[in-house]
Amino acid sequence: MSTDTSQSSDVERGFLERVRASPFLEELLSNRIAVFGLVLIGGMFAIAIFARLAYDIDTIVDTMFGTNPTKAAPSAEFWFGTDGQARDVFPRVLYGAWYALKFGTATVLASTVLGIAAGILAAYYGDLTDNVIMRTMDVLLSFPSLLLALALVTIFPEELGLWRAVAALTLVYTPRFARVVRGAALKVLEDEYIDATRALGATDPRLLIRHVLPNCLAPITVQSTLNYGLAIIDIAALSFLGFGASPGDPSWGMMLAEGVERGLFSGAWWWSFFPGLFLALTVLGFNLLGDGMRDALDPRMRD
Amino acid sequence: MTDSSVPSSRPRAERYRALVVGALRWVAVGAVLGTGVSLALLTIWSPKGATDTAFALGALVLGFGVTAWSSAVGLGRTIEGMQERLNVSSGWTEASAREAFFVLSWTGAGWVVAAALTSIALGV
Amino acid sequence: SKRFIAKRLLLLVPVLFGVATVVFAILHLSPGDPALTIAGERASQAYVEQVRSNLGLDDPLWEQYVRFLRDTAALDFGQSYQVQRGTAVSSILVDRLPITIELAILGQIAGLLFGLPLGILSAVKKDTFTDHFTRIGALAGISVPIYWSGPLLILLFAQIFGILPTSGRISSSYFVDSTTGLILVDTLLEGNLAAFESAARHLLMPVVVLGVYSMAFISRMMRSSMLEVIRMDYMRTARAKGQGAKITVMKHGLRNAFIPVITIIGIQFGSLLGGSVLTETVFEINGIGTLLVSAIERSDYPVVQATVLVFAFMYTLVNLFVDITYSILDPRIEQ
Repeated sequence: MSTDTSQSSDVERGFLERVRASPFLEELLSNRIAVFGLVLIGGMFAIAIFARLAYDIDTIVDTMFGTNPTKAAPSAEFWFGTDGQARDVFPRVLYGAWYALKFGTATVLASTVLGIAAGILAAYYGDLTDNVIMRTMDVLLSFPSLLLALALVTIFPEELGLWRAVAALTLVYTPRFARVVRGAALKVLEDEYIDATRALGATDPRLLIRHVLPNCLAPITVQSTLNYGLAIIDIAALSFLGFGASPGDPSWGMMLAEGVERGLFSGAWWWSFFPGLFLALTVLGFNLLGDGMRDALDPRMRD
Repeated sequence: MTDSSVPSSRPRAERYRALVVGALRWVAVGAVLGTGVSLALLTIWSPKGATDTAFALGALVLGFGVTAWSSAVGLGRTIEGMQERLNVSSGWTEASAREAFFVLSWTGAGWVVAAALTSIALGV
Repeated sequence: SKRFIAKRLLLLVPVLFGVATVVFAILHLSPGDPALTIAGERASQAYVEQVRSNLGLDDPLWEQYVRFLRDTAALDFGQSYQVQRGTAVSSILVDRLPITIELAILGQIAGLLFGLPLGILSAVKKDTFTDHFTRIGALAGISVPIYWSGPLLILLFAQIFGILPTSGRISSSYFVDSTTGLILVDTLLEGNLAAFESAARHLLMPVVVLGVYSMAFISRMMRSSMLEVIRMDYMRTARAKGQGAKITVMKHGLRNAFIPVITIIGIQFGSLLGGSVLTETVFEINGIGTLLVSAIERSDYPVVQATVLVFAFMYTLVNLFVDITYSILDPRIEQ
């Protein structure tokens, strides 16, 4: 173990030096607002992992009539109060972080993959293919994301639950990634070394992916960060409107829907207040970090 | 290109001819797609289910193309002007959008007609 | 010019045809079954089939499409399947549409009223405390979902302080004839000031919630547009010339900065409609936002189709107005 530690600290020093050498990260870390966002997100990830390990999903979904009071105000025993089904709100809100990050990650990952595919296809084939793909993406981009998601979510069967929201939002966010990837891919294709590699017999798709991906890692990361926040808020919005989580799920959107509909007007404000607070903090974290990243990447935006 | 991106300085008749040829070409492509999708879906669904779904997919392409084409024609100059003003370029030009959605609209039209004809042929 | 406006109005036809086609396609690709929803889960198979054939849903899809286009062209949107069963969709829309329009207009006005000055302030005082504060505020405004800020306001002003009503559009003790459908206008037309006050108090929170969202967006746009203008050469020269020239040029710069923002406001009107769906749900206002959601949930095809068409129509009209304003402000664009 001890040798391992010394080795990893060596690696760490190398990593830290590389970080220091990168103007992007230096810029980012000097931005106090972005660092604050990073801290918020880090906290949420910690909460999510803690909740996933500490709580059992079945007991969190189960109603607790008979053991707990119904709609009890926050107290030493129930920090965030209890809901209409006599469930303790506190573990449910923490577990909501796991749900939000899990489904948010799935959405962002899926739209990144689709975006890479569309962007590379557009850049590689060019001409009419490029034109049709990118103009279609532009139109999708100009739609308000919630309305587009509302239209798409109906195509997927209800049994999918939250995955239904993920599927719809994946299609909504794909264009943003496609645009970024296409730009980077075009730059790579213009470079001469592609011709050189091609002469050595590399096949086209592999070639593109290997050379394009490293080149658009930074803009993809910025897009992912900004869309992470959007994905989490939109998944919750779809759940709130009834197109996502099923009743009882510890997703923030569902808790808000139930809490507003059945708790708020009878005074049980804690039922919707805490899920909403966590949701807003998470989204704010991603937006602050994303904004800072964009500034660090493109200083022109700032001054 | 053989469609709406043709410069307007060319004689009118020639322009129209190019537009019609382009439209016919993409209608043909759409017809092949519409028939192909109908027949492919036939292997897993009933004739009605297969041709209905093929028709709906074609209608999606047609409707999207037409909406986007007319929006591009309507908002084109505004968006180009705004990009110029903000000094950003997303690669969007009215001509490129018209061309792209010209293709989608006619493909969708051919697709929809082919799917409808397939359903009639199958006696749905 | 007149020709420009005529051309744009003519373009409404293909836009609406396209949107109608897309909605029709999506509804028939979705797994929902209106016949089953109407008949109920426990209905016999034969009854479900009976309902299906009564609605014409067992015809080949292309036949349904042709019928749908013909009816829509004649402005016949059919009858609601489920949301208000048997009622003509057009009469539901006449009731509900003004409610959403009123909310959206007031929300947009509130957003502009606060968003524009904040954006300008933020740009002029770039990198100062004011700038940072405004930018974080705007980000927070985008981050806080309407379905949380709404309930928060209800909690605070309706339940703790008890000074504002929780939901609805007007107190149930007033009965107002619907002349325009806009409740603020109708109460004024009747000269009933007490009813007007009640309506205004009901609308306050929804408008603020919607306005904050729009404000956050507008102030961000205004800031970057203003910064772009300030960077331009003539602004620099002017600044060098001293204070007096700076003010004149500021005015000129302001005009230039507005132009892209105005265009974006038109495009952003769609998000405002999206926001009003959520706002109406939170405050239990029966506009077309809540109508759309419940129609989608219950596979009420005629209502969904008509509502989306109305959304598209409004969106296109707003953008037409924006375009006209734009061509007035920017003489370089000749329409």
